[in-house]
Amino acid sequence: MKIFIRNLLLFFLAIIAIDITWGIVCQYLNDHSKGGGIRSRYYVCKQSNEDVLIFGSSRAKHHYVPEIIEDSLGLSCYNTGEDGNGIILSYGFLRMITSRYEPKVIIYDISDYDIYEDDNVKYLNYLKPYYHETGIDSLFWSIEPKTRLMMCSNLYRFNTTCLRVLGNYFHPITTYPKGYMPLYNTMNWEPKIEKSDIGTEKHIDSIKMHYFEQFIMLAKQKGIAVFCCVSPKYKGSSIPSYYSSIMNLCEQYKVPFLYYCNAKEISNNRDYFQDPTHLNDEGARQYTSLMLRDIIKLQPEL
Amino acid sequence: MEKDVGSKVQGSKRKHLVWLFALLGLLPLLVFKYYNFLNDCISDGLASVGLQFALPGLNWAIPVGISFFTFQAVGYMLDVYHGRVKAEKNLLDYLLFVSFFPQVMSGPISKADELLPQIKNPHKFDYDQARQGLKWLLWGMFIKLVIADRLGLFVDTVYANYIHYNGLTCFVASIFYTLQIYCDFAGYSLMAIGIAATLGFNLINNFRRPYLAVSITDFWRRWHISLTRWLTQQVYIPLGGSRCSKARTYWNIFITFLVSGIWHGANWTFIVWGCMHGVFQIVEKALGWQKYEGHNWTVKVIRIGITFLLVNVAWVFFRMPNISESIGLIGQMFSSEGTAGLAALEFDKLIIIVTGLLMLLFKDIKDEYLSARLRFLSNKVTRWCIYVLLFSMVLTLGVLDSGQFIYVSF
Repeated sequence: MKIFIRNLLLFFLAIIAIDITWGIVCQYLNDHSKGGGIRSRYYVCKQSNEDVLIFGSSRAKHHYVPEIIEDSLGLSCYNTGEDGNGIILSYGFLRMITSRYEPKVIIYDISDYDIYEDDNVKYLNYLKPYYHETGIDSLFWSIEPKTRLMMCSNLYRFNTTCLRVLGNYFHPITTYPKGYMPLYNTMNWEPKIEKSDIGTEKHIDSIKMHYFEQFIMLAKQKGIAVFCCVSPKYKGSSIPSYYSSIMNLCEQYKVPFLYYCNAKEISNNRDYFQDPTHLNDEGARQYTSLMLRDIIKLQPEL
Repeated sequence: MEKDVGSKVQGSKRKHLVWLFALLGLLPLLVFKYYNFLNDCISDGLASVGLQFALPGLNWAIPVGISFFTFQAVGYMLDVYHGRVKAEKNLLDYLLFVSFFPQVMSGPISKADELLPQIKNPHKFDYDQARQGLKWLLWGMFIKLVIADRLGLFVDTVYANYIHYNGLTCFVASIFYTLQIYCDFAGYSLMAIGIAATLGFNLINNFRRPYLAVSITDFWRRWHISLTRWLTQQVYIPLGGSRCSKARTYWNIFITFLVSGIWHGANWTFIVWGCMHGVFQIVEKALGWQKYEGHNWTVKVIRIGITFLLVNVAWVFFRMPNISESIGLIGQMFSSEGTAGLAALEFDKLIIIVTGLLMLLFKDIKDEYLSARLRFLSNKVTRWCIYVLLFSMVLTLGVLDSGQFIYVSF
């Protein structure tokens, strides 16, 4: 029994030593990465200084062209959208951004990731290297109290991302200028209507609604103009009832809510899409111009 | 003469009683898992002839591991009836046998003559057993968290919207699911066996490198061994097993795998999955392909590949929510539609998956064919490096969210 306990202790001591070393190395590589997503996120959190920021999921990342926004508004712009993410990551980003400076305009692209109930822990992944930043740790604790313990481990802090951290430091891949990632394929097939979309009960995620409200409140408190948009989907429908919670919040805080999901000019044209929920570059350019026209109409001083 | 008649009457009474109690034992399982399915089937059947009738549906939480502990309890009763074990008189020991915590969620399904004596006998700490237990626990965690859950992220993404993905991606996703379910379930089983061993209990090994099987029959000797054993003893043999005509043997195989399909869940997809495995084995038996004892590696590799592909097709039905979606996914594998490709699998995730799978492949091949030759692995320093590396990989590369085990829902 004594040998067993001694060996267990030795094993965990070795793990602790690896954990500490790995944490120091990964944090350094994260903060000095030279390309790819790690670099983009570090830029957003620690170095961005643009006037206009785009937030949201992959639909934000692929649908808003910063060059067009810059040309139209005469303001600098950066797209912070991240695949498979939504309000929780965006709120974390905004906390870190507003601790450094106040952008002038925020365009938030609302997607299903911001509404439906699901496992919110996954939206914290990209924030793990910034856990020590003010306000970020409490975001973790409110979503998953166990992270208070789990984040003590550096191996966990860089869980999954460690390979990307290494890759982005030693062999950096392209960092898309201003965060926008264009898609160049065209949907060459007619999508079927998915059964799962018909008559399925949508459960609204109260945590996401809470952070959506916090996001708007923080932006308003810093004097930032916020616009909430829903970008086009192929043959998109009119506003579904499950959007009402978000629309109510927008109304409450006087945030313009712009719905383009079924914008005829774009959503009925297959050539503008890579897949039913993502515009290709041509579609994104059309959409950005269309959206800007409306924003300028709503706020001519921009 | 009177004594013979008396014992026959008593025997028939006992038989009826055991059936009654078996049914009672299975009743919670039938109600919790199959009520809604049967209700839907009946109301759909009546609707097809123009009659509208439906009982109210149940929306109850299903007890975790109900299929496993029900089979363990019913198996015990049948073992007592057939005189394979003596009836347990101590209620606490019996309760511990049915609800032994490492295996209560997803098995392995233990037999009374294996586990009950271990519960009754006092245990002394055994260093070698505890060390072996921790090794199983660590390997189980590794294949579950680093391989299965990582594969699962890609599989879930593709399967949820398979019409957007091209044929190759759908095929790769199906292969990934085949590997995912193995790593998920074998991972759980190893963790259960490992925890039990650390506490001084030996449980049945549930998996023996199933994807190195040379036929579907061989696959079932290696996959979910405790369930196969239960079904063989409680369904296949009572039906007559293989000691009857060819046609009857084929029927017995089919019924056994139909029961296996139904046991897995209340959905036509599980029934089709069970029937497919039954039919595959009947064909193998008819053609004499159940075994391969030759030493021709080309034949062996081809047989392993074909078995893997057949199992892979059957898993599509197991995984999809209904038959039409299963056929849709298989059709999509041969379709030119769908723009999304393997890019959905990011490069760093691919490295994790490939590394994990290579490690699994190495271990399975070593255990199957090379265990005597790779003695350097038993060197103390090498072993310690492997333990620390595996644990570090679990923390760094594992999917540590609130994901569940696939078999917990059965």
